[in-house]
Amino acid sequence: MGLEMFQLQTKLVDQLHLAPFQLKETNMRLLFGLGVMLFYLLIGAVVFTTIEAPYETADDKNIRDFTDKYRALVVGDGSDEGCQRISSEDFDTLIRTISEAALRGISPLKNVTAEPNWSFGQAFFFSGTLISTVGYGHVSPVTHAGKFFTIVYCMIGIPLTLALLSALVERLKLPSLWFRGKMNTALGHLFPPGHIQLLHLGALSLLLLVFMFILPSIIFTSIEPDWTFLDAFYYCFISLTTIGLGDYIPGDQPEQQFRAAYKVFATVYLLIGLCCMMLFLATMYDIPMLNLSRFFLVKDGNFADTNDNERLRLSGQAGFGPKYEKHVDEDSPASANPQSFPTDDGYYQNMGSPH
Amino acid sequence: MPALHQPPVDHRRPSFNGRPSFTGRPSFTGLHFQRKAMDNDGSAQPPQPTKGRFLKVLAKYLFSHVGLCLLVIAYVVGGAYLFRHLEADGEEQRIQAQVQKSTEMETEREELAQLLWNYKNGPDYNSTVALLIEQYHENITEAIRDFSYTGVPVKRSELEAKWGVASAILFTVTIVTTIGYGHVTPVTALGQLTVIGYALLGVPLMLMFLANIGDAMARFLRIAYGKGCCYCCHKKREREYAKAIAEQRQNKMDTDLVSSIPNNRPRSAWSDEAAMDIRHRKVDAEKGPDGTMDTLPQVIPEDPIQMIDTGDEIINVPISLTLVIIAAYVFLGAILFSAWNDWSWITGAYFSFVTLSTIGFGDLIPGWKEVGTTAGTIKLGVSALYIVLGLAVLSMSFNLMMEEMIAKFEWLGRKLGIIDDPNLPGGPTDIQPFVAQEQMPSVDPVRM
Repeated sequence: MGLEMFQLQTKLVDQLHLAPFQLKETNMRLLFGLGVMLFYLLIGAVVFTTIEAPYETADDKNIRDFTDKYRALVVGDGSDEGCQRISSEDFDTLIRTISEAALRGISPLKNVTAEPNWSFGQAFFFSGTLISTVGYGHVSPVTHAGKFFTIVYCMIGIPLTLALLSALVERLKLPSLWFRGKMNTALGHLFPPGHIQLLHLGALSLLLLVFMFILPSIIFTSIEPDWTFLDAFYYCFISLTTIGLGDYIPGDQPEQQFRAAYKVFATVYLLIGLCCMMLFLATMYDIPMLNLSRFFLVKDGNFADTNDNERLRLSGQAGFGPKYEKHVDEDSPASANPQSFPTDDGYYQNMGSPH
Repeated sequence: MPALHQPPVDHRRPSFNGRPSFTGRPSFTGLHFQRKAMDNDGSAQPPQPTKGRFLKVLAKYLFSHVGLCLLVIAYVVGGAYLFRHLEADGEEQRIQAQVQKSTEMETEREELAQLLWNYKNGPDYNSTVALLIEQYHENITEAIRDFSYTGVPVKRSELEAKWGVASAILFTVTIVTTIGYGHVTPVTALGQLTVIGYALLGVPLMLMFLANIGDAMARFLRIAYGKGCCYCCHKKREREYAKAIAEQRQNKMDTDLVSSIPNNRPRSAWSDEAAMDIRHRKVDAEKGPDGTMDTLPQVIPEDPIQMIDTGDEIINVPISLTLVIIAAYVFLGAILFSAWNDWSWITGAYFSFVTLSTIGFGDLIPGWKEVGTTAGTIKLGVSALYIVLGLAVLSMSFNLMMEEMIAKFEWLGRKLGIIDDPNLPGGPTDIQPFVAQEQMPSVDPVRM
């Protein structure tokens, strides 16, 4: 639903026809909004820790109590006389308890536990996976209150995140479009505009691949002891597409140092990566021939056949849809920076140049 | 050379509708486009190559509603078998190892019990017992970590069913819908690479499918809503509209038709601004109103700015109704799954919500405890169906809510900083000409 809602968001934001100057004016508000999101994550972390950790601790305590009692019975006070006869039921319970404890990473005999599931860093990471709809499942609320809070938290958090990330994506689109303008001027005489759009998308994909997949994969491989590069790449892919299977989780090794900070950075990576995926999707949707769903959602009068699109492109719009006129106007005042338009008979005319 | 020189084009003329472009400068490209559209009115269009045309027709058919449905089903089922095959070899070995380990642990447990019992009165009881228990604890930890031991003896049929057909189909469904339960995951390197490729193709396919089916369902619901709920209002509107049309015929030359029409169209309780309706009205003078508009008289618009639409877009299902539909579906899932799996109803609602929002923890999966049995298979299958249908319902709801949500997002956007003020030039109430420009090729550019 995250990606689907983003599709909807893209449509909605497209309708607004934003100009760069409007975006600049409201940058401070976006920063504030991002602060709100951080605060929202902190709230989630605190609340989940408050709700779930005591339950987890209580369970641990039960296990410990029983183990201590049994050890007292079996092992006694150090002498053989202190032992009592124990029933087979008691013994069964002990074995079962040891199994449960081992399943939860607790070692009742050694007083060493694994990191609690609901430490602050873990809860922060968990909140991040909620609002990004990744949802690994390696930890999940077990109390009814926790489940109820999850529902409420998501109903507010997911649209909030999507709105903020969409605003970010709108701003990220500006340098992306600037780059496409450069590509158009440089390559406009070699390729038709549609191909330049595809090239632009390809360049963007390459950039994303390197900075959002390969680089983080290298980092994860070096931090996680038993992850290969493929494991890390697989993890990045599964997370950034918000699938979130949960078979690989960063920072869950028992000997992990600075676990809380690591988890926080992982959360930030998730959200930034989601933002970049949305940018990629938005760029893809701008290409009419790739935006097949728009093709089917808009009625026949608008996109009845791609002949119309061909006509649009041939008519000399240099690959920009109507809504990007303003970006062209904004970035290239007609007198200063002439754009080239191929005309029908192949002659190039410069806007604003004297005839 | 005069022969090659193009006649000068005056780019400084304002755009033909008299309105400056968004930034206040004349819209050059728009003018250029309009001139070209005029010149190329049908005749000068280069002929489409036949191969390209055939491919387009084929693509259109392929992506028609039914075609898309079948494609998605084939993709999901095919993917299930693909992953079963990829994981099968390694899986057999793993199953054997797991079964073996499970048996070992059971044996060790019995032995430990026996030892402790027999040793009750033996020498060095304390240290021996402590050592034995610690040893057992280490073994069980290793079994859990490396062999997925769950503390109870495991049945071979259960393990085999992990990658059974129903389970694999649920897996592929959760991949392409980005839910991602993780109840089974590929452990082979090839399996992981395949998941990446499979998702790269499958997720956009699923998004497209959901958009398509959501649109179809939304249209259906709009029509049903229009026919059903507005029936009582038809008579009243008929009278009012007839009056408006009579007025309109009087003021034929008045180009501002918009203000005379709006109040007579069925509209949702939420949005009442004419600008909102204008935004999405197609100006298509050729098509007449269709069946849902049969109460509106046949007005032949001479002025292309006439805002009669072709029908079902006019009927706006209120947001409250769509929210009720979503909530109803979530509760349906809650009741069904909590009854089936012996969960509490809030756990069922939690499961439905987490699934439909595509978060997908995977901590609760209907039928997973009984995987391998017929009941388990049925439950897994129904879960997959519930997911797909639920996402389609969500898509339909988004579609229905879109009109209303534009207003809401504008409000939110103003609060968050996406847009500043709707009354600025070029704000949302000012965007209509972009839409209109494309769709009015017949407007005479002389008329500026």
